[in-house]
Formats: sequence, structure tokens, C-alpha cells
Amino acid sequence: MSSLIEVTDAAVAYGRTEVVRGVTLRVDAGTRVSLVGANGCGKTTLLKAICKLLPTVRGTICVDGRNVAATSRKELANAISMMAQISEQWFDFSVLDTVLMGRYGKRGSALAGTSADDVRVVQSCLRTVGMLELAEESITRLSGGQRQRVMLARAFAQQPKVIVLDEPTNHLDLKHQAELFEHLAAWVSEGERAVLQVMHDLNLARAYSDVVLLMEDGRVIADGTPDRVMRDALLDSAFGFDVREFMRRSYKLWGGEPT
Amino acid sequence: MAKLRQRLIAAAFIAAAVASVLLAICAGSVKISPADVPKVLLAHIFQGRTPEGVTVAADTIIWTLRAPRAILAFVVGAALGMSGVVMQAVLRNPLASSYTIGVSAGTSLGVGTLMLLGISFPVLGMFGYPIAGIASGMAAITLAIAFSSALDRNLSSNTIVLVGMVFSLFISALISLITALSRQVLERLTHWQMGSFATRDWTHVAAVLPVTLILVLALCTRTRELDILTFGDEQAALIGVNTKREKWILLYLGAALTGASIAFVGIISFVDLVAPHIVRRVFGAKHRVVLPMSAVCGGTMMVIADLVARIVLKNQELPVGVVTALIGAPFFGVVFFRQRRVK
Repeated sequence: MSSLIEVTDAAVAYGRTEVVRGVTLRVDAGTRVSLVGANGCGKTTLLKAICKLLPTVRGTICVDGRNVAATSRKELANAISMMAQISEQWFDFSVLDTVLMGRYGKRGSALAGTSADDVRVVQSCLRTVGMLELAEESITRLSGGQRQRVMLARAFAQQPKVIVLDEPTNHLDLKHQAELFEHLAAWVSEGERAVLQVMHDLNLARAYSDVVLLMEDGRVIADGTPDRVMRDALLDSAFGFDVREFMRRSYKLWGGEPT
Repeated sequence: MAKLRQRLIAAAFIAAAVASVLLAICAGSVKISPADVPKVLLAHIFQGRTPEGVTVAADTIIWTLRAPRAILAFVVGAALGMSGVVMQAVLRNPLASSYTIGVSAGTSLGVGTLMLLGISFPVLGMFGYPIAGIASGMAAITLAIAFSSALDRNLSSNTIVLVGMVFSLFISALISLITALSRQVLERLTHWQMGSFATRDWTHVAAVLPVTLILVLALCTRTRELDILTFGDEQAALIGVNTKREKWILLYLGAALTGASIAFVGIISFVDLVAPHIVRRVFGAKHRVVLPMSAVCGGTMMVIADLVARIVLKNQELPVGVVTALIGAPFFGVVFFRQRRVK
């Protein structure tokens, strides 16, 4: 199985404070990998470093065999995309135009216009996330959940090998959460692809991951299948409280018990 | 259907621009027949002479006085409109303009100092002032971005806006100091700073137009980057834009447009702020459309503002910068705040 992300002894710092330290991991093709851990443990920072939004102070990060530090933005955008959280957008772009931006990395010259292939890919991505009917709608008039789906369509439109997601279920209701993970599962199954996602909901991480990486204080303290990593002692240590007891209380409300 | 509607509105904008230039040439203390305008312009351009059936006085007024003035006003307005588009998109700030980030003040300081000291550039000929304007505008933005980089390695838009505002205030204070210390040219400099198209002729058009066209062509190759940068630096980088490099290029192009356009006519505010807002409300946010239509809208606004400045008082002209501010400020308030209230 080929490796699409390889992080070797990476450290990332804000100023002099190392937020990620000595992280080594690999994400293989055909897998969905979840990063879990308490707030501030370095999950988002690690994702940003993998996407070259933050530099590493030590170690190397390779995506699709290329060292991200030595790869141009455009090349990297063709290998990895991130489903961004859309912040306040004052400019009134249509859904179609927003997703078409994802084709930027495929463009040859500065003067090249939108090709028929671009439009076909974008329409297909919008259809996948159920937003094709709203293609001409302004993104400023969409709900939070609809915007998330537009951002997912844009990530698909880049036609990358890896999609990275940071808290992808924010703004999504339960139905759309389930749909999002189904879209991702289908996408991964289509070829040499992988998903790396930061998850706060441990149930979702367990249900929709092939591999879980548990982080604590800037380091990966456990990795493997969900069953192997999501054990009481490890989770209690990473989150600093009794995770099973919390789950038990939640499940009791529904008349069940966590396994 | 929506595309057809947009094309019809674009045609209406262009028709309004042509009508405004025609009106500016015809209106004034001496009334000119609109039918004489194309006759005179075509005869001079293609035959280099006064056409038959038009009086010498009308020919002189059209060809020597009003046509170059109206066309220069249009070019300057168009350049400022596009400059405003760039500043607002790159800095993701609806209130950003060359004025808020110190470009206009820098241009004003550079060109004003040359004027004050009576320095000219015989080698550059009529291109001297636009080039000086571009150079000082770009020097201002270079300093603003260099300071922003020192404070914020990621060169975030908020840092650039804040540093630019501080720069703008500082340079304005320097201009005031120079003005106060040079009483013999106080009136001239103050008048220049208020902006005016009076006494501008074809040489000014010939100096500003080619420089502006080159900058506009350069800008037209980067409309996708402008679109993407409105989503913020991180998202732009994730899509594949080299955000730092593109910001530098686009801000330089915007600053150069402002510098070249106001070098001859002085400080004219609000056109660069208002024109992009009007265009975005009508045409949406795509810069492939917003950029040219802001040029048309900015040019039209400037021609009308100059016409008002010229004819509103008898035997006296108002500085066009005063007119644009007097009309632009309340107009912008209505457009911008109504938009905010709706959202």
C-alpha cells in the first residue's frame, strides 16, 4: 500500500513554543485517518503543517512523495486539499464560481479561461454533495451546513490525492454529518486516495476511520485501528478525564451502554 | 437569462459612460451641439484639421479644452476604480482604498515635493510626473508592506491595513509640515492636493493613458487570484495561490494605478471606494467582470464630478476632489450601510 502522507520527526512552533513535537506518522492510500485529542494538543497545527500553512522547525513532511517545503503551492494543491471552514465572506460569489476556484491548480497559463473539463468536474462535485441545484446561488445566502458542503465540493474539485478536514462536522446536522462521511468514504474507495481528519466527536471518529491517531501535548501517543487506540486508559490520559464515564452518562439517556 | 440581463446592464453602463463624456464636452458656459463632437474628434484624429460646418470657436472648445479634459477625467476615474477593486479584494476589506493604506499620501508627498522644488525630468518628458507618481506610490506601499512583514510574518490583511493607516497619517503630517514651511507655494500645493482637471490637455492624456493601459493589462491577467484572495490567505494558499507573491504584485499594480492617475490631477477621493461597491452590487463579485465595469463606473463618476466642479458655480471652478468627497461620502454611506443592514 503506497503512502500518501509521511511525517518524520516533525516539530512545529509558534514563536519559541513547540506545539507539535517529534511527530512521525504515515497515511496510506485507501484509508481514512482521524486525529483525536484534547483542545490545544496540536491537531490543527499538525494539519496546517502538512498543508504547508505552517513551516516545520524540524523533521520532514512529504505528500504524495514530495517534500512539502520544496513543493510549489500549485503542485501541492494538486496533491492535497483541505475542506476549509468558510469564515465571514463579504464578496458575493456564486456556489459554482466558488467551487470553480478549486480548479486553479490545474490551470496552465495566467490567461487560460475556464475549460469545459473544469465545468464538468465542478458540476460533478456539486452533484456529489447535493448542491448542484443551488449552483447559481450566492454563497453569502447559504446556511452554515450548505457552505460546508460547498467547501467539500471545492476540495473534491481540486482532484487531490488527499483531503484534509478540520472539524468537518461543524455546522452540519446529523443527516448531513452522515452524508459527509459517506461522500468521503466513497471518494477514498475510488482510487489512490486518503482522508486525514481532525475529529472531536469520538463516536464519529470510531465509526468513520480506518486508523486513529491520538495526540497529547504535541505528540502522537497512539496509532492504529479505532479499537486498538480508543481504549480507556489512553483516552483518559489524552483528554484528562474519565471518558468512559462521560460516554456512559450520554448513552444512558438513550437507554444503552457504550461498548 | 441572468447572463443576458447582466450584458444589458453592462451595455447600459458603457452607454452612460459615453453619454457622460459627450455631456461633459457639450455642457459649460458655451453650449456645444452634440452633433459637432464626433465631427470634430474624427476630423482631428484622422485628418488633423477643423471639420467643415463647425465654427472655429466650437472646434477649439471641443478639441483643445473639453475633450482632453473629459477623457483624462475618464482615464483617471477608471484607474482609481480599478485600484479600489484591487485594494478591497486583496485586503478583504470593503473600506480599503489607496487612501486608507497610504498610497495616495505617498504619491502626494512624492509628486508634491517635486512640484515644490521645481524638479523636472527632461529625459522622461511628459512621462515624468506619472512615473514619479508610480514610484512614490509604490515606495509608500513597499514601506507599508515591509513594516507589516516585520510585525506579522504571514502578512495578514489586517496588519497591512493598520500599518497603512498609520503610514497615511504620518505622511499626511509630513505634507502638512512641508506645506507650512513653504508658504510661497502653499496655494499651489494645496490646490493640487484637492484635485483638479483644469487646464489639462492632450499631453496629459498621452502621458497617463499608455501607463494606465499597461497596468490594466497586467491586472487583467490576475482576476482569478483576486477572486481567490477574497476568501482569505489560508484558503487561497490551499487552492494553490502563492499568496505572499500575489499580494505584493497586486498591491503594487493597484498602487501604481493610483500613483500614475493622480500624478497630474492631485488627490481625488471616494471614486475608488464607491465605484467597486456599485459594480459588485449590480454584477456580483467575479473580478473578470468587476474590474472592467469598475473602470467604466469610476470613469463615468469622475467625468460627472468634473462636470459638476466646472459648471456648478459661475466664473469659478471647484476642486474635483471636493466634489467627489461631497457626493461620494453620503452616497457611499447609503450604499454600504443599506447593504449591511440587509445582511
